[in-house]
Amino acid sequence: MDDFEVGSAEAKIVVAATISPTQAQVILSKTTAYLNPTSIPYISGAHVTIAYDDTIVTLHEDSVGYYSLEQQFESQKMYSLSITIGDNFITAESYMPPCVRWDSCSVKLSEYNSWYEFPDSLGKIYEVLAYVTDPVESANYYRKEVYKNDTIYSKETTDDSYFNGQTVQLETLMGFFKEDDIVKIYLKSIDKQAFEYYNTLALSNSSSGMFAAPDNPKSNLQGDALGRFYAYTVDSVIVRFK
Amino acid sequence: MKHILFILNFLLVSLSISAQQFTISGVVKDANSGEFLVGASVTIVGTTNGAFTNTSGAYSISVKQGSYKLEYSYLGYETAVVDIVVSANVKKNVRLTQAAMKIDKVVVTSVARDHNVISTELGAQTVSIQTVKIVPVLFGENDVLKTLQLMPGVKSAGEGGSGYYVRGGGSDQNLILLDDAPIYNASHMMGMFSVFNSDAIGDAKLYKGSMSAEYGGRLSSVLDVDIREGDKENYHGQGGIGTISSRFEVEGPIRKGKSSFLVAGRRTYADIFLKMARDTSLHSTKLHFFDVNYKFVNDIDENDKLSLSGYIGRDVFKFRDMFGMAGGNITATGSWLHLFSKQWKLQSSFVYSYFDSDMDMQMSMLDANLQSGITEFNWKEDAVYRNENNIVHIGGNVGYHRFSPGKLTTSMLEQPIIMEKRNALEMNVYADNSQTINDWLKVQYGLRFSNFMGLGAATFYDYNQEHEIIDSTIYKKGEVINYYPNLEPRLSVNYRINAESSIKAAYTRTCQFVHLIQSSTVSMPTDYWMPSTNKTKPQTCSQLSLGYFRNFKENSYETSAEIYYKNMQNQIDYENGANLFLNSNLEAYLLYGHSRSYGVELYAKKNVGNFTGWVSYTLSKTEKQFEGLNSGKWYPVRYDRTHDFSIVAMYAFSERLQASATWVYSTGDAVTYPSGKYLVDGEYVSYYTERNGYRMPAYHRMDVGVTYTQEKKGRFESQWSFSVYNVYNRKNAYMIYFEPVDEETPDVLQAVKITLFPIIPSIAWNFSF
Repeated sequence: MDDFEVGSAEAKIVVAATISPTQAQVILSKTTAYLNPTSIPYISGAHVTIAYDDTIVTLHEDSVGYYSLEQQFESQKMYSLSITIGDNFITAESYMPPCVRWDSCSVKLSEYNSWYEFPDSLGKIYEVLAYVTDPVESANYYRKEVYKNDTIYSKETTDDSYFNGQTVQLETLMGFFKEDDIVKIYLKSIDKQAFEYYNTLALSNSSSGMFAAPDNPKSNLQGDALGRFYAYTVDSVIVRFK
Repeated sequence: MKHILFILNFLLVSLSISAQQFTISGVVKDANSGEFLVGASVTIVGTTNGAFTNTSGAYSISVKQGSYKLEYSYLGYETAVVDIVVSANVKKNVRLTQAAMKIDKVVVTSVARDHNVISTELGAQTVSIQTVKIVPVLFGENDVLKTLQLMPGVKSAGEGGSGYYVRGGGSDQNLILLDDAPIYNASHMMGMFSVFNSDAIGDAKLYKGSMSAEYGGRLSSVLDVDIREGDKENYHGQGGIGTISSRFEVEGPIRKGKSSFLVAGRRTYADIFLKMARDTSLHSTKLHFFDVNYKFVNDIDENDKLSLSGYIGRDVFKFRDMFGMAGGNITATGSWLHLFSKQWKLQSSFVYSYFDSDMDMQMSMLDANLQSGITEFNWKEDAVYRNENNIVHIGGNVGYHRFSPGKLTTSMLEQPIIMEKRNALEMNVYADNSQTINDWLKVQYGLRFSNFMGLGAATFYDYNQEHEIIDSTIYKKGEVINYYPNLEPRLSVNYRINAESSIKAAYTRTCQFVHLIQSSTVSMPTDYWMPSTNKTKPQTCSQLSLGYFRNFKENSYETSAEIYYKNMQNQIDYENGANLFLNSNLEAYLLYGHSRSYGVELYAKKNVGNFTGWVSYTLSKTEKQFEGLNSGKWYPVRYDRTHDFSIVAMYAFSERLQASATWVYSTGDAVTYPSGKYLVDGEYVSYYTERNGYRMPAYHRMDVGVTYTQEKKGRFESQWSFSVYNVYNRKNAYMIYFEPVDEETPDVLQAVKITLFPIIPSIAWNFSF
């Protein structure tokens, strides 16, 4: 299109930080042009720490812009992230909720296989349903990530406001699967701020014309940076198709 | 209270009439059908004294003893001049014959030619149904709302759609009345077509600036549409077969000269073709809408008239047995008009309006059903008094609204999700006078006292900054939750410079107690209405407007220039990430702010001759300011189109052959697009710096049409109508998205536009008998 173009804003620091029961990982980079990006400018030489209880640990830069630390991090604790890049100081806090596990998972051939004569190369349509019992006493926030043969297949973030304390069919997956396909369904328990980040992120990428104006996702970072920091616990089910 | 007494006092003073006045009154009818002519002009030749016939065709003029020449005129009809000697009250009924010249069909208004100059109306626009039938439109489906979009100050809500914005107001700020019944969703097929069937309705009038205190309830405009009355003398009908739909209308007397009926229906038939599809699974797919308008009138005696009218329409979309959407409006209006005297009349109306929408999904792994709706009952009284220099409206209404925002039943959940129903009572009283002070000064002033009450049973919540419920209040059934009184003063002044020009100024305050929760700019089944609550205050608007009106060559050319400034308070928007869908706690995510709109509207119209039409241009700016959006800075609304230009041209080659063309141009919508991107979780995230800081490419389009009327056979007349939408196939951008330039470098993107409608020809065959 020649009668439309987007401009390029000044580059900003980007923080992608997570903490799981076994690892803390922080990736630091900068924004790039929307249409014609340069290669991602990663930020080296930052000082990155995580604090919990009375402990402060420092993350090591494994490769340019990638900082990590492998150790046990307990759930039901608050974790504080601090990043110093030159004069910039960025902080964030996140709570690691207790792990909510999948109850059960069912797999069946779909009745939609009979609709058309789909080519065999696609495989068959299966319906994969996974259930969870939501803890009644707390507000819970979930992030589901589905991988098919180690490639991200779908992801979704939800809270329990519609089903607090109920047993629900939380994952409803339908698609073509073949013999030896492996589907992994992860259930991450996250805190409210992480939920809000992903919830607002889903809207921010809709470049569609008629819906409400998109905006930057809601971040829990303090300081002049984009991105997020969240702690999570995780459970998974693995389905191998025969 | 002091103010109300003052205004009532002022009204009463104005009402006092001098002695030795007599009245000339009567009705004006179509000589052929006996139909009352509404808005016909009755003028005493050589003076400005005169009147327009009301909705019952009746007029009344006060004069002193003497002999007079009265001129009865109505566009499309031969003007009649009658000599009358007045020594007592005189009753004079007049029948006007339709003008032989077919060209008069191409007029834009049906009121007196110099109405624009002499009335106090500022920012009022009349769309004649004849024009609606000639102006070329998408798929050849005539649509009063689409013709309206060609007027100054009115902007289309989207390509091909029937939604509109008036002077910077939202699409939910337009009151659309069909025989006094509010239409909550005036569109079919998610906004593509309006609910108005051109066969069933009369002229439509839009008030975007000054308005009588009789009107209220919406912030930005009132569109008043009446269903036509059936012919009381002869049976006849009309209809047509078009590209999208077919229509049929029939009308006639029930008791000759006394009572009549009119029934008009439409149905689209895309799905009828699906039944012919080879794939039998498509046979159960449905995609259509239908609507029916009806009106029954009965003249009980000279002073009393009863009517019952209404609308029933429904959209049905069903894909196999898997997914379905349905929705529609039902309205009914019962009204009784009683003439107490030559000066007083009273119209009592009982109105019912219902709108619902329903979504259904049935699949093996999940089924779901979503319902929402709104019901309104309204009782309205409008007393009208007129004498030589005043037309006074005094009245009021009581309305009960019931909002059902949504209910979702699904197999995935043990219990359905139900959003609590809301009840509300609206009570309004008003007084309004249109007063001729002297030959050069006319004023219209009024006051509307609107009252809103939210009623239980209901539970309301208080939220903290984190959107968490911190407190709740439970209201019992019938208990008053909140009460919002509002005074809405209206003032309009017409200073007549000479016979062909005037200057007008107006101040209008309006108030709105309902809020549309809408996730996009098109009408969706998930949209719903909610009433004002303790947290969500009624919307208010103050508007100032000023206009210069000038006609040329004995009113055959009309021109006007208007400027306006509008300030709207208690506007709502949503916090980033607000879930609008079945969210009982949505109020926690609502943001409150204000908006302003100002602009210049220029309009020039040619009324008579073989060549008729108009040019309209609007230069305007509409902005919003919300704490928490765009860093609290003003930002343009999406439909802030700086320049908006339309040309409508109609040419009659002969009595049988007419051609028409329209051209529209507008600045592109203000939209939000990223100014950078960054990587998180292995995926790019867009980086936004400014709300609605970018512009879509400019929009322009030309449509043309030709109608050819075949020779009449007996009473039967038919007409072919050809039209081409987007004749030079302009690829207007409906949406812009980004995609990789090539597969090897997926990070490098290019902007790609989606065009909704290319060049689209259509054909229709219409008939009447």
